[in-house]
Amino acid sequence: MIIRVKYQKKEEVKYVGHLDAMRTFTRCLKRTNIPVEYTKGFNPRIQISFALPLGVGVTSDLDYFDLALSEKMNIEMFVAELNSVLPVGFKIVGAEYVEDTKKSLMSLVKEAKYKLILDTKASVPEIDAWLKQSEIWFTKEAKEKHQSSEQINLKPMILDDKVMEENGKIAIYLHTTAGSANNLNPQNVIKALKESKIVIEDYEINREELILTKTA
Amino acid sequence: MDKLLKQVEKPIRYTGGEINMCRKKLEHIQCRIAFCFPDVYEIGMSHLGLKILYDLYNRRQDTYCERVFAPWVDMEDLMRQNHVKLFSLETKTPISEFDFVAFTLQYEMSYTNILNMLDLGGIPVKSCDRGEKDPFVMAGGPCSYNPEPIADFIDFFVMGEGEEVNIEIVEVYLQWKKQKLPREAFLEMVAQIEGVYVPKFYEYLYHEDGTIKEIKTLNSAAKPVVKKRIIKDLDTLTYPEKWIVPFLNVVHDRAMLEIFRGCIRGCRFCQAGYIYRPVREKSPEKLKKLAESIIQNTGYDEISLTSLSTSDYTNFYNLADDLIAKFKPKKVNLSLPSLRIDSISLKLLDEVNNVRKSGLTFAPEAGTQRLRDVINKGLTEEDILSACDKAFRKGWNVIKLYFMIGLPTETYEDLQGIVDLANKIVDVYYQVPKEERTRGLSVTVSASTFVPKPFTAFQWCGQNDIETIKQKQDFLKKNLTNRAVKFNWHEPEISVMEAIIAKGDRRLCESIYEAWKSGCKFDSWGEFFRYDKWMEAFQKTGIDPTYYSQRQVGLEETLAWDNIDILVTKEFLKKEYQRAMEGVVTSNCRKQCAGCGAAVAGCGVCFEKRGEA
Repeated sequence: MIIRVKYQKKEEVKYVGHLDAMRTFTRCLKRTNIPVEYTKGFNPRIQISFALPLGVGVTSDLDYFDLALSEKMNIEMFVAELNSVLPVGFKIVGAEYVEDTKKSLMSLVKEAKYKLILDTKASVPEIDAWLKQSEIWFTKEAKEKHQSSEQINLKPMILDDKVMEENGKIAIYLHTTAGSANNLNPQNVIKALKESKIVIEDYEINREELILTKTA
Repeated sequence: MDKLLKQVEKPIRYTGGEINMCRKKLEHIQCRIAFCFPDVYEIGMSHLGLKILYDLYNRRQDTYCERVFAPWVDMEDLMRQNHVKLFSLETKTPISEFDFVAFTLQYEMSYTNILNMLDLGGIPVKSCDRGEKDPFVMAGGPCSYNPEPIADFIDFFVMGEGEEVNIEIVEVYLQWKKQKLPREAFLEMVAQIEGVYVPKFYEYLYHEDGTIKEIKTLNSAAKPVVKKRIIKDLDTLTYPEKWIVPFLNVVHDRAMLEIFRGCIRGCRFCQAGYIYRPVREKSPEKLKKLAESIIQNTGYDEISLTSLSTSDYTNFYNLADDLIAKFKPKKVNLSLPSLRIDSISLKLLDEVNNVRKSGLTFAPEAGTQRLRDVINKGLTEEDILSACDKAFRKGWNVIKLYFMIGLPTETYEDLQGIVDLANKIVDVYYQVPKEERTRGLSVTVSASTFVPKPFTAFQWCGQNDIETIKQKQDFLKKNLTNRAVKFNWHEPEISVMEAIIAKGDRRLCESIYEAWKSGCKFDSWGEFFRYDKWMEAFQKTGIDPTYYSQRQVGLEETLAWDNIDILVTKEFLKKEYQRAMEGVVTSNCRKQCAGCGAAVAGCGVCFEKRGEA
């Protein structure tokens, strides 16, 4: 049976990359008595799948993973037991049993909400005007030498945006498309801002929510 | 700080916060120790000694040990530009604010990193420039047995196993702190602890030809000879059960269970084989209990049994079988990195590697029986070939062979022996019926360059010069022509540097300082090692490096490390050297005691009944 787990990734662990975070969760599960299910075969692994990778340096208030259990466990106990072994910064905030639809959790990811905090001399209207452009282009650098860099328009992936001043800094609230197709990486918004000659001294990014398609 | 982390590769190297990291309230702490590993996080976090000492110190309520690693060059540049001092991972405290800054010396080529880390931490690099407010800089680990090349930078060294002596040092420190005595007084107090070496209390006098005339003790607190510390009964030790599990994929990313210390074999080139004597084992009951709690506390899915020559553990196969049975239901694998390959160990490896068969490794070290007798490597060609035959029949097809070139008395016949052995292994493979063997044989021959090390039977030997080593490598390149055989070698320059520093004396301190000043760091990383800069540094400081690396040292000379006692006597090493030159082998400790001197410790293999192994 599948338990869908809501978790947070805070400041203390924001530089833990996606693969490292996945490994941390599996190791922590092994430190508990939670009845996890293993894959069959010679190299048994805990059956766990994550919703959407989070960029290195990005915090998250609400993310998901699905975990297969071999027997049902009380949800409160599950949450408490896993929280007791997680490193500071990772926290389980809820869980529920879901029907095993055989669909990957990743395929259910539809939209996400982010908050970007900018340390910049640019003003709210400047940033707002930049976001209101009809197209926002950004250059995706080639990963390999033989590839060429690519121009990507971020605008269609931004569903809604709001800019305001908060504690002397500029906060951008973004509601974006997310998932395996049309995923907006908020770090690319920072890169696009920098490309357009807006000077950003420092920034923070938080994923405020990940929105899943409701399963039938 | 956060701004810097956004700009570097692998910021997680600098943030800490891993599973089982020790957190303490600073107001209860009387003694803060910055445990410094002079290489990057991934290397340092693979090191068992760090985990043992971290655990040991942090079990004390009044002491807090935190970790510090060498920042990678991208981070270092940003730290220097932004005036950020080198800090600990646990509390991000600059190392200059600690009571002790403790380095572990695993490798000679990390010495420039030590200087660099001190400098980056705002601590004067030379001991003589440190004042009352600076931390005490200490060092331990295998390279400490010849402390002289870095004696100018370290306030005191600890010889031998650290579990007891480091606690004694903390206790002396707390007394000293309470009495508000000057810095010098602490060094005098600590010098009286067995195993502690305070270099400033010793003076080296030289003959005109540069050899050492005398080692003088300058302070009555200092012992004329400093004896290494050992733990008599390993079962009495606490062992880290709650050790830190890195987020990053580190070099050895698994639980490690140390099953014994020392080695019975007595290979004459091997420093570890002498300095860790006598062999002492942990009991199987203790090991099984520890294994279980380490796995429970870390969530690792692999546990490796660590020691030198693992299968020399008494009743090793019983232990291994018990551990496999214990861990199978928990889906935890056993890894056995240092096994002598024979038919029994093959059966075990077959069991633990039930799917993919990783390569089998042999370390004959030398190509002919004659030279193997010289180095006392009790591994015969027949052993290797018959093990290979059995392995090929069980489905292995990857064989790795480790050799050393430039060993004392080596001739081209011995090098030809390397070629012949590799070819014979290929022949053995093709003699196994096709249907019994796995396709695609690969035999890798790796040849490292012999480095003479202090406290070995070869400590008096000179190393080949670079030209000679290159010619020998060329010979192997030219003659290892079989398609199934791959040849690996290293540029000899780094091995030459290792020999110079390993056998160096106090006169090298200035050269190391000069090399660091001219930009040398991360010397063990090929992309940073600058042989030319090192040679320039030697020239500038008036040092002939070949004096240390290539010279055949007289048996009657005073050696720079003669004031350190590893329990194995110099007389014994001389005897072993002479036996080597005659090609006479010496039995392993279990077969027959060779009288090395380590029995004075009063424990371990020296007091076992003999005749079984």
